[in-house]
Amino acid sequence: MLFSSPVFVYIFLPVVVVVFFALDRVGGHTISKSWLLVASATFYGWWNPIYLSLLIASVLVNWFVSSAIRAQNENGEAARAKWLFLLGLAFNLGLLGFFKYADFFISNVNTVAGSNFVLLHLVLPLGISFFTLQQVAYLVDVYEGLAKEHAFLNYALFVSFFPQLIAGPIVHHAEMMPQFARGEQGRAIPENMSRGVFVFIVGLFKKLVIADSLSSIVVAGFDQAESLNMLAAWVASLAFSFQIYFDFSGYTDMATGAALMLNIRLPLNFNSPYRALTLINFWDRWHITLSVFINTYVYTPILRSFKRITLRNAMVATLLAMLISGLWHGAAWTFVAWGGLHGLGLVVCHLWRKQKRRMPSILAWLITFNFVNIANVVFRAQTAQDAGKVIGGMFGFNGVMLPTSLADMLSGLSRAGVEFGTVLTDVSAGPGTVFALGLLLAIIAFARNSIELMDGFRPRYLTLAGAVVLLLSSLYKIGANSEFLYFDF
Amino acid sequence: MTYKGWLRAVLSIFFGTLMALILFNLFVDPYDFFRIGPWKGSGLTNERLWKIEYLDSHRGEFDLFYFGSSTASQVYPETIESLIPGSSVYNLGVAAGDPWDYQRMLTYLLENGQTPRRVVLQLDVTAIWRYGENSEVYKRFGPRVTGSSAAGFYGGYLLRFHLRGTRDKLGHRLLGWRAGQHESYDRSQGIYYFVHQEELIEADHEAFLDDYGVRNNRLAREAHGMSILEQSLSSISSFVSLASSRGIEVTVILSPPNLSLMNKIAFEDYIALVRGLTAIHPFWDFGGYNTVTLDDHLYYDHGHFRPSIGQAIAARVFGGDTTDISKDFGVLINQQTIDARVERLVAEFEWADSVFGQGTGGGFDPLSAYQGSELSPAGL
Repeated sequence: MLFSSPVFVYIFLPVVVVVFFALDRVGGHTISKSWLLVASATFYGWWNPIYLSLLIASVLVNWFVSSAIRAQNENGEAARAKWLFLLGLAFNLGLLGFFKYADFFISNVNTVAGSNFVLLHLVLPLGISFFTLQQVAYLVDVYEGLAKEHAFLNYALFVSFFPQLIAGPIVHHAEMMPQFARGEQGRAIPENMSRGVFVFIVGLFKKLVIADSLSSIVVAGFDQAESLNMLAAWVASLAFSFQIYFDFSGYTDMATGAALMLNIRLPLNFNSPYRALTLINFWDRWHITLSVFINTYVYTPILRSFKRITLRNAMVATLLAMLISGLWHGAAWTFVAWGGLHGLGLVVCHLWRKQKRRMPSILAWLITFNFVNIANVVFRAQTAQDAGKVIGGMFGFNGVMLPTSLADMLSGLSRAGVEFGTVLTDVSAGPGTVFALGLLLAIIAFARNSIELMDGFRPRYLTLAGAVVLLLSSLYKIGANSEFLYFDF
Repeated sequence: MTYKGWLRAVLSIFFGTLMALILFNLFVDPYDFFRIGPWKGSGLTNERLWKIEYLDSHRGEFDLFYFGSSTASQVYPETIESLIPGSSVYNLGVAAGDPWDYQRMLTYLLENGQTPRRVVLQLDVTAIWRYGENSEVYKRFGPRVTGSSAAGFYGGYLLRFHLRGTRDKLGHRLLGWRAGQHESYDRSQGIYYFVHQEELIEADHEAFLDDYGVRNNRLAREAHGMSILEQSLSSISSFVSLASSRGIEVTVILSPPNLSLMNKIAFEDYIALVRGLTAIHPFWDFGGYNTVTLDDHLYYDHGHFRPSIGQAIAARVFGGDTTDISKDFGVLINQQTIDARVERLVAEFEWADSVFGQGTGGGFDPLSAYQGSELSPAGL
């Protein structure tokens, strides 16, 4: 079930919220939490009921293993606890590896060894990357004695709570399980409900009206065009950079809003990332919960594994962590390359920072934004050839073409090889698209982001009018075929 | 304003809009899903939905199904029935149909009690670049075929605002706009008639060709590669295998696109298509540059031909009288004849590139140019 689907917006969410508070009043908090668990299972099973058993198995195995680790720790059996921890880790990574990376591994073996092993063509269970990471973090913290809360219902909800189940934010047990353990959220709070509804509407609009409208340009530019002239390539790349931001942050807004209606606060996941002046700052603003996870559970352990913590080792750890982050996003070399690019970028950024040299803000923003934009091309492209096509186009390798309307004014440029024609045909776009992308850039650069809007929300006629306009525009688009980009990861 | 007041206002508007939308869609029924209101049967209708419903309620009545896109709509069942005595034919042409649709429809029909003795698969050259589920409301399969919940399907229909369908239906009913061509459906045969276009043709055929963009010689070939074509061919292969495994006779036809569409097809794509089809099953190729595809007067637009061409196709394929049909129209291709056919297509594309590549002035008649060339039947 998609957040932006009619069945979720019109039926599922209203029913879940109303029944949750009704049950809490009538039957108490355990009953209402059980209802949330049933609702989350329905939400997940809606896509494919068979894979619901996978989620249930994953939750049960992890809870039993973590219980056993906790018991061994309490009995002072460190060696047994370690074995159990490694067993749990192997289970999670094995599950993720099997469903997500088996075909990638087989096809690479086939390529390298010239073998002909048959691909498994497994369907990637929705959200497996997210709920696996969350449970790995829990296992690590139980093993290290850092996880306090252990009640099964709270644990199962922490993993499967439907707002964050299939595309994040990646929540940490320490911030979620205490919220489920507390009883006071069983009462509907108008302020939370209003803010939740408001930010949900903002997210719905970002997803349905903005991100989905950019989709056709991205598909035409990346997947269909044989080659792209310079302007068309920039339009395609910017369209994707904006699409993935509005798609993913829109999803997060909807998740935040849906959770807040139930008095649960999800962590911040996006904070105007395209305003970042450095790549380090970008990763403090983009998919923040993933950055935190990678930093805590990948980067730090790698760094700790070195005998000494030096700048060189820190940079090696950064690069490795970003390569793993790339691979987590998808089983393809383009994702690994994307991770590698960001890793290298972060290394350069750290080295520059160490020099303590200053750079004008506008230049810093231009470099950071364009680096991210170009790296996004590698992220989106289905093949290295497609990435080369778009990036080559951006740098003018496929020629420079300007609109025919400028031919008279700029005729001198034709001597420099500039052509005049219908510039944006290959990306199914027109002059209005350039204007729209400029407008989106201005919104991203100057407007308050949705979390700032939510935090500053007041019940006024202005916010009411804004919410109604966004809601009605979104309802007009609802039901069209679309998927969230991050469901694939 | 309090938080409660704000919330009450937003939720009232939200649920009020929903109720209004449901009632509006029930009354207007933009794509005739329910056919219960006073305005049933005009505008665009969902053929995939009602053709399946019709066949489910007439199980076993037809022994020949004619699959295809909307271009197949002008091959009338009665024409085929006259050529195959005793047969009972149903036209399963659906808007923007592609091999994905045909495979899915055949699978459903065979699993649900239909027992055809023969199936005809009329393919379009658009199979090179069009494949897969269509997101438009009037081109989606209903829950019977997809196995999805009926509540979800019809509920989803009621809870969306359908701009195009609503505009067309209200325009027709309230403002006197012309009805969608689907109003002229003959549900018992699965066909419709281009009534309005025929009226315009009768009034002034040359003006119609210009106004409807049929007369367009511009050469704009675009290569699409193999990725979509491979999926199309895979579905066609599955279609043929499924039918053959049930002992059903299969006839495959490649429909004749108008010159304006032929000029958009890359040579290598077309060759990949005909070679791919040959590898699956012998087929009738009505495409390429020939006496029919070069005659704009035989078309409503770049892909939809007029009934006379439907009759010609039926006559050629089902053994009718072909004395009046140009011999370059409709060639049976199989493993033995494919190389000769490709050789011929090379010549046709080279001719077209040389004639249309430089641009043609007003009044240029492609058919005359073709008939004057060594490619025409007279020159063969």
